[in-house]
Amino acid sequence: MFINALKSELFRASKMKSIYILAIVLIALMLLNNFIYLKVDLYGLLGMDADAITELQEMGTSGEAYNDSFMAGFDAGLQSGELAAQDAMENGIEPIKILGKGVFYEADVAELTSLDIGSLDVLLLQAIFIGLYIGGVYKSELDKNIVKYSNKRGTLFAARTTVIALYTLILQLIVWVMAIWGMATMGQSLVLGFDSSFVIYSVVIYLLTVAFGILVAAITHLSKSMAGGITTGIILSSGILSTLISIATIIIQRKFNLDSDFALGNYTLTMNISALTLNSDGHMVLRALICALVYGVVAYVVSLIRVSKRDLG
Amino acid sequence: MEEYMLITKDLTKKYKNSTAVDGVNIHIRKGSIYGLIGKNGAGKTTIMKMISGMATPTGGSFSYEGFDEANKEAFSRIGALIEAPAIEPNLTAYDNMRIKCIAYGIGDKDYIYEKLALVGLDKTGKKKAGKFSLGMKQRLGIAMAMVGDPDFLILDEPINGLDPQGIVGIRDMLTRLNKEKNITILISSHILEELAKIATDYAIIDHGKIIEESTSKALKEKCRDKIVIKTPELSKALPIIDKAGFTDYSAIDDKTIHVFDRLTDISVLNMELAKAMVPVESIGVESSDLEEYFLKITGTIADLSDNN
Repeated sequence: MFINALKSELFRASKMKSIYILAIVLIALMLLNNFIYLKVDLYGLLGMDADAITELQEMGTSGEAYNDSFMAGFDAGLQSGELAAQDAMENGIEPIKILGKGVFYEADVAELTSLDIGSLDVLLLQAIFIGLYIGGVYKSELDKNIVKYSNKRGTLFAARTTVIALYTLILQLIVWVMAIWGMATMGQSLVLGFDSSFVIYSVVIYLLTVAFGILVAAITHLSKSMAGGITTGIILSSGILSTLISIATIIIQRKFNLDSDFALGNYTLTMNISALTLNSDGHMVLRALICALVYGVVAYVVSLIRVSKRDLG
Repeated sequence: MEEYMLITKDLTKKYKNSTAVDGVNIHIRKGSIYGLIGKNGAGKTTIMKMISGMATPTGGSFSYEGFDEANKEAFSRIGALIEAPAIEPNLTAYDNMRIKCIAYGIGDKDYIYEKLALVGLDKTGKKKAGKFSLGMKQRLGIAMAMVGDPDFLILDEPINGLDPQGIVGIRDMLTRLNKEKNITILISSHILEELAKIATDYAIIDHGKIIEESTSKALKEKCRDKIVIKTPELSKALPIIDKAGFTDYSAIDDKTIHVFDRLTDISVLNMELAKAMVPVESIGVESSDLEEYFLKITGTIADLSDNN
């Protein structure tokens, strides 16, 4: 029965235009990301010095590190801009150099993949898909058609969660393929770098992303609303809540006399996805894994119970 | 002994502040077309949802004959169209059918076209269901309910929004399914005259309670044009009516006689009773169709009068 439910749900998902559009959007975003990482000469553009690049490389390849390096470069750029202005007044304006060797020009595919994953684009697109896919069930009241599953709603629920996991896998495969293609066409050389740390990283990131998907699906199930799921997914994946999380961290630190190492963000799915790198230590990987399992299982069980007990329509 | 498809026992559905279905007992015979009659909000849809597993009863029970106690197996033998048809507007009729067929383990293309042909939607091609007329959507909903060749069809207002031709088409189809494939059908409708044309059994529901459950024959009897005589001496009156040449009559209770033939001879009948010194409290011709009967029995007329 599960196989039939899964086939039916896969067929329904395959008939959604949005899954193809979102995949195309992801390809475009990855092209843009990889172009910036591999081809945009940050030093030339912003006057970032070699020390900043070294510092960036020491921090590892993550979205967070990239942001830090970008800001470092931006500061450097401001300073050099002042010098350049003075220089321009004396010797005339020189053209800005944009294309060249990007910050990660010499990276391998594994590093580029982790950078792309850290950008959270996958989460954003996954959240939109889930809002449309699960929200569609409530919009069309599809389950009222399938009386056979009236008392086996858990089977339908599991089939839908499996579809979410499969689509997440497809999105991540797109990221990998685009990273390979990016390194092959825009990087120094095509080095895969698919070692054991990459395998662990990929598995943990996949579990975190699926857990995020289950969480967005749970919100869609509970709110029975397409808009509810999509909006929550976008809010969570875009980092809008990061300021709130930072404030909450300070409050918790002060209230419970915790040291400054404690950060609430370390226990959220999005922070774990963006902070996890190929060089992350075992503690960080374990924390990410536990977060994925806890969020995934809790969201799954809560929404399953609600969906199974609730009247249709 | 009568064979039943479904029996409900004190079936109840209570919400926080209201009771939608209140101790309902219905008995749906195998092979019957069971009409559920009731006003909006009377509880028809809630009953249908409960017996198809879409809503959980808060009291009572229901059981499908021949299936286990939890009715789990029975749900795979039920087709339902409850409230609006649940269709994906961006898909064609064929693809909508295919979603359900795959879920039911049916992979045959011809099967889908066969069901669509039953409701006249086999030639809609690539037209999206969202662009269908209300009637077409309704027919698609019925076709989807037919997937899996159910033994029991639950149809909530299936002729809503259909044009007269569509109504005749659905009526003929349901009659055919019932007769040829022996499918038991539970159907609700606001168009009582239409329901009267196909239903073999009825339940009238009002404010969540079943007011009357009867066969079509019994209901028709109640709705026939007739002379209604009220007399305190029933035993004395009956032989007089017979002697006067009336053949189709019956005593309804200890004071009321219904005479169904020679309605124009009411004055003759009145005179014969008077001659025989039978006291008559009232005599008159009453005619009511199913709709009037329904309004009368659910107290709607009284309600309206009270309000006025």
